[in-house]
Amino acid sequence: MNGQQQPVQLTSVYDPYVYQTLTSVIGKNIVVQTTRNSLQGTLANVLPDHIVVEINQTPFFIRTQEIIWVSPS
Amino acid sequence: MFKRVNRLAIELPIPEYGDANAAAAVQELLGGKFGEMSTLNNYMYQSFNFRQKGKLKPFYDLVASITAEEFGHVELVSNTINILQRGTSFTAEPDLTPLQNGKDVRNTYSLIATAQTSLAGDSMGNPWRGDYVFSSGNLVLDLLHNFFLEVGARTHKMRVYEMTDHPTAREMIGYLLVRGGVHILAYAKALEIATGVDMTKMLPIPSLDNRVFDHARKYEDQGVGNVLFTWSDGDYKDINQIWKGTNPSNGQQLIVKEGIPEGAPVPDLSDLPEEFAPGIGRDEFEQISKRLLANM
Repeated sequence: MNGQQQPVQLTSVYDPYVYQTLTSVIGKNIVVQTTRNSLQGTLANVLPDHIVVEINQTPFFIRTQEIIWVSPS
Repeated sequence: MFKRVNRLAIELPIPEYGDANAAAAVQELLGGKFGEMSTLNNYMYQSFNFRQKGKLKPFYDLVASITAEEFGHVELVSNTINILQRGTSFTAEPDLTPLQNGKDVRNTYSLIATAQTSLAGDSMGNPWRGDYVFSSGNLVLDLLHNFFLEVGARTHKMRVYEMTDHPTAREMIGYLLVRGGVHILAYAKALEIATGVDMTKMLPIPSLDNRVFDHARKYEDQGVGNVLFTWSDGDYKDINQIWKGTNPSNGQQLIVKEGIPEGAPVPDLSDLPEEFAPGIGRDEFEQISKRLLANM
């Protein structure tokens, strides 16, 4: 606007308590409800912005922002 | 009579993820007006009702043998729908609402009426209907209807292919586009022999080659589109008086093969405790085993 370029800022949502809690159940069987559907498998890894769930040795990389809830199974 | 073989037409890929709404769309190719249940029942009733089976034997053989292939296509599409519904729910106690995602999928029948498997209905949940069967008894009219039915079925397959990129759905559609192309050409040739009119001049409808579709190209390369099977151990051989010459789409020789294609194993389905299916736990299974082995 007014011929001036606006500064662009990149922001990232970070759910520190989700990350911390999920870290404590790595290796356990879980159900993850995402915004699309649920996935049931072993929680293989937890990173600041995504988790890895393995179903029959196939990894699914799920963005933390798409998680609604997680429950042990 | 029919003899059943426990094989599936092709090997379907089984990824660890499904797509329940893609399964709902694929239902159209099973129980829709132009689905496999319609091609099966049209040719089945036309073969039952055929007048002068001896005098017009090549035409009778054609309609009767393709009936058997269509039965296998119903089986193939049903298995695809079953695989597509993997991962729709999770296993948990009923009070944890394990079928909660079922509220948001298009086909709720699949979770309530079946244990996440196929239905004898279309993509909107309408049941398949007997009035989809056209069996006038007039040979040319019935063949013309079958030609139209196959072209319509091809159109629907192409559109469902454009709706989903799930590997299982696309493998099935790629194969059936090629086999459907065979049936279109078979009825075109039958009409040419019956009337002298060359129907192949208007093909393909829609006017794009099967090779445009990635998953159909493999089957075209294998020559699947040049072969018509008798689906019998000794009958229906006179289809070779209709299925002859070259394929106008690729210039290759048309071949009649006696019997059936090799096929692939029928996929199994895991148990789904949240659907109580099959509902046979370890204890029940042990009791069943005892009764199966007992002298009763």
